[in-house]
Amino acid sequence: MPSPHTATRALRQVLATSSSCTISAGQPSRRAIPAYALRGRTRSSSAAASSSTNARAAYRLRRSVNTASASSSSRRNHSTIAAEQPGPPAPAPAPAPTPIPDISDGDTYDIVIIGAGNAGLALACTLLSKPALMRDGTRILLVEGGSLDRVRSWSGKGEWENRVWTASGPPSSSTSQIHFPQMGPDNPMAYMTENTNLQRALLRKIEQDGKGRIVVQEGKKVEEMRMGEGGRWVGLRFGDDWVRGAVVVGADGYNSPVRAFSDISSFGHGYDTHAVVATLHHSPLHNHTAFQRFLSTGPIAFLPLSHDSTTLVWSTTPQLVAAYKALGPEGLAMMVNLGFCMDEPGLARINTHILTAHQQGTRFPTALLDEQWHGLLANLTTAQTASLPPPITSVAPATIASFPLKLSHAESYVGERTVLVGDAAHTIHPLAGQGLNMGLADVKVLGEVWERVKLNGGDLGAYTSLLPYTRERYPANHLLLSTTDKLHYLFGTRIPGINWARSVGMDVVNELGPLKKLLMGRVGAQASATSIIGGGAGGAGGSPMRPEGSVYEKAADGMDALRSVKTVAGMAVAAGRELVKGGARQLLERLAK
Amino acid sequence: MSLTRSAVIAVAGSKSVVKQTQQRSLSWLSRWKSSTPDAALASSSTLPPPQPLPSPTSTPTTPPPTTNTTNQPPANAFSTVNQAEIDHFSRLSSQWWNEKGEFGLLHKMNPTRMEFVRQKIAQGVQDDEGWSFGKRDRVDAEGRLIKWEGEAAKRVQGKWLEGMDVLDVGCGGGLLSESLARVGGNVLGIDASSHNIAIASLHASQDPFLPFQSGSPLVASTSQSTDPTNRVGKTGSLQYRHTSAEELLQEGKQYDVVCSMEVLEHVDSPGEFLKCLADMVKPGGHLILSTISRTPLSQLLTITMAEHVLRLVTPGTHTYSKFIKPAELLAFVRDDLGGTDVWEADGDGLVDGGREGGGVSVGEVRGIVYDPLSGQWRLWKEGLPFGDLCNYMFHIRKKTM
Repeated sequence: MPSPHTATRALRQVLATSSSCTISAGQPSRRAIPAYALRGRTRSSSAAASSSTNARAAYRLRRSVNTASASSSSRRNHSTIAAEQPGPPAPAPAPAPTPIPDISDGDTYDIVIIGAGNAGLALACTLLSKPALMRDGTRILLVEGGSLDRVRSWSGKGEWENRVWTASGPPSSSTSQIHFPQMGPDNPMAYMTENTNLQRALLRKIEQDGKGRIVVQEGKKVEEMRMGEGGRWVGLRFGDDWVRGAVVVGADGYNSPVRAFSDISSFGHGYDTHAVVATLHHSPLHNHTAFQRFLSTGPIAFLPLSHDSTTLVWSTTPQLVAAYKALGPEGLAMMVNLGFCMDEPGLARINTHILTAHQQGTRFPTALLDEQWHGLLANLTTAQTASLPPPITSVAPATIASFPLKLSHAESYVGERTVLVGDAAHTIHPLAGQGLNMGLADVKVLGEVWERVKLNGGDLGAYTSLLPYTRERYPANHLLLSTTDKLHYLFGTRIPGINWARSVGMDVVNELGPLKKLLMGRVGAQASATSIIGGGAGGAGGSPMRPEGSVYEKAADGMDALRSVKTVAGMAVAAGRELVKGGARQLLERLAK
Repeated sequence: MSLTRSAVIAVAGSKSVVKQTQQRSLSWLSRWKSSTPDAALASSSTLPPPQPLPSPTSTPTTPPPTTNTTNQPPANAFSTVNQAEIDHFSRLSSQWWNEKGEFGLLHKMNPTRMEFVRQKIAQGVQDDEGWSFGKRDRVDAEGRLIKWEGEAAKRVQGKWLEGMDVLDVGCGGGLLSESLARVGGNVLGIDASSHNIAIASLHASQDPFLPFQSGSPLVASTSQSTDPTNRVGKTGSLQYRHTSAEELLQEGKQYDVVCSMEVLEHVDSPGEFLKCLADMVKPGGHLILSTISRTPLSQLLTITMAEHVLRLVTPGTHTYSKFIKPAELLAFVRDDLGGTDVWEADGDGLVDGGREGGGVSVGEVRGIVYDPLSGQWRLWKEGLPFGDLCNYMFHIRKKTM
């Protein structure tokens, strides 16, 4: 029997589901959320990248990487390939590759986007809305390794998909809770949307408005990338066909072949944590509240989709994930219920039993879980149930999936005539629900940077042209990545002192209205999404993800401003130090003479 | 000044006359001349430039064997080209397109210079079509609103130099020329260093997106993309020639836009050089320059810091005494280039609070400032003081007559 405060420990966040979420997905997908469908090494520089680092000079002229699938929606495929492939032969005595054949005008593009996942599609979409880029016949090629038919034919019917994106709020501790109140019907904290729904909207916009300007090619895998003579373009080979582009965008996911080609390594680590996702069903209700509880093994999140459906994202140890999946849909439903309201010692006991049963190859009896759950339920007060998610009645069997969690950040976003966006540049722990938002913000900034470059006659792929993109996105992404990383450990720990400090902190945050508003406003990186799919009569259901100009956004802006002041001050100090150093060196040299 | 431009040309070869005249009437001009070294447009290796007070950097180095082997101008032609400058930049020519090297700051400056050019050109385009019922906003078959846009609106987006003849004097590796061509201009880049022209031509020829026209024997055609018809960029053109401004002037062609970026502080007798540029501007055309002012700040930033402390730029690139103050430039336009008789009186003409160039009402001076925190050059806000203490842009527009 949980004490009152432990029973109400679940974080309560008020979310309103967007209109786009009231339709349900066409095909239940068994795929994992792509951002985390990762396999391979922690240090993510693939073999291809590392083997060529010591041959920089050679790589400048001829780098060929046997890239895997260029798809982001089929990321699983190429993540395996890229990780297991030995990479290109050591470039030292590289046999002279066959020269790139002449590439015609028709196969010459200003921008080649590899990967038609969320980031790639959103980039193409946002470029469409840029007048200087579009007016003068800028040619864009969007390459997808898999087929887009599933996205194109998505009807919104059938079971909900388990790949759901969120702009969710900040997390809470396991011993205290923060309640984020709804800001009114028109000002929700975040929206939930199914992956395919978002992608279809973007693709539809591209296919309607991008005729003759954006060429979409599906089922094409990049087999080779090579720098053109003089380094003014990058050649890409699909089968026997070559195309070239002034700049190649790596929107190709975690194991990005474009990143490997660019010789950019990334750093980060795995979490020894997997996430299990599934679509949950419950009795119909006004389902506009998201919940997240931070267990010592990781957060369990309840993300509403419709009045009777909700997405589960439960991050926990890989062993437990396997054991939970083995419980079957009924068992998992009960486990989710327990996960939200049972006290931690009780959960730990049950977990031990489940693990033991799993190791012995037997199925843990659902009836036992059922019993525990009903025992708990009987003892909950009305006030306690009000702060808990609704009881889960069933889990859609086909939607149960899992994937490992990782943090990674590319060392640079810009290579030679290449640029990385989205998961190719960074992957994040899902606890703050920021993965999609970071990718969209990347894409928005890149679009704006290129518009300015085009207006002033710049070279889209030049290092100098792309520098403002890195300058704007790298620190912002890094901050979010490291914060989320710290939160994962902060909320995972059960060391008493830290526990106490954390819950006090949480209580303070909950009491301080303005700070809470700030935290909610922080979710406003999402405002980025507005201009990508909003507007344009052809846009398919792209409603702005967040109303502009709310108090919270202004507050968030204030926060940003503060942060930039801090950054600027830091840089000024660093610059000053450099100056002094340089001056001193000069002085010494003079004196030495 | 009584010297007309034609007189300048006529006395080609007798520079000392020109110089003395100028020295008498404009003391600041003598400062320009008494200095020495750096870079710009060159053509004549045969004619030693006037160097009354040679500085250490200007002492003749071994004559570059490969420079000026083509397009050699007549031996007696007048030239503002400074050979020492040409040698200096020829040595650095291979660095032009290394964005992280010697010319990194220049690469970063390029978009900002283009921004200034764009502002000036877009401003200069009249919405001459005018709105009419035939051209009003309409709705297409799919129900989308097509907004009517006049010529001026088009100019501020996309290819805003389309249909214009553009001259880039002292093009170096072609940083500016390529940008000008990408926005649709018919660009001719000239430079006094054949090394620079070779580098610029090679670089442009390898880019399938540039409307480059290889007219130079210096460039061996590469396997692809030297054929102008095989270009993706549909409008505009880009050509490079190894010649000097003085030589080109004799061909008699005039241009809609004449640019000369970071060149003025490297030539001998900037007055002659300016007259030459001014002559090549079509009526209604634009002359756009960027250069460095002669102030303690500019000495600190461009020479002490950039060259000696931070080593961003090879020492010897700049010569303090050759820097030119905005007021001097404006005064020269007023006194020697015809003032408001020839040029549009569209500037406020108040430089530095009007202390020195007071009363000059042509042209615009805009400071261009490097912001190390964002790593970008910025155009100083119009009307704010102190922006022109170091690098600045300069624009004048010729009257349509």
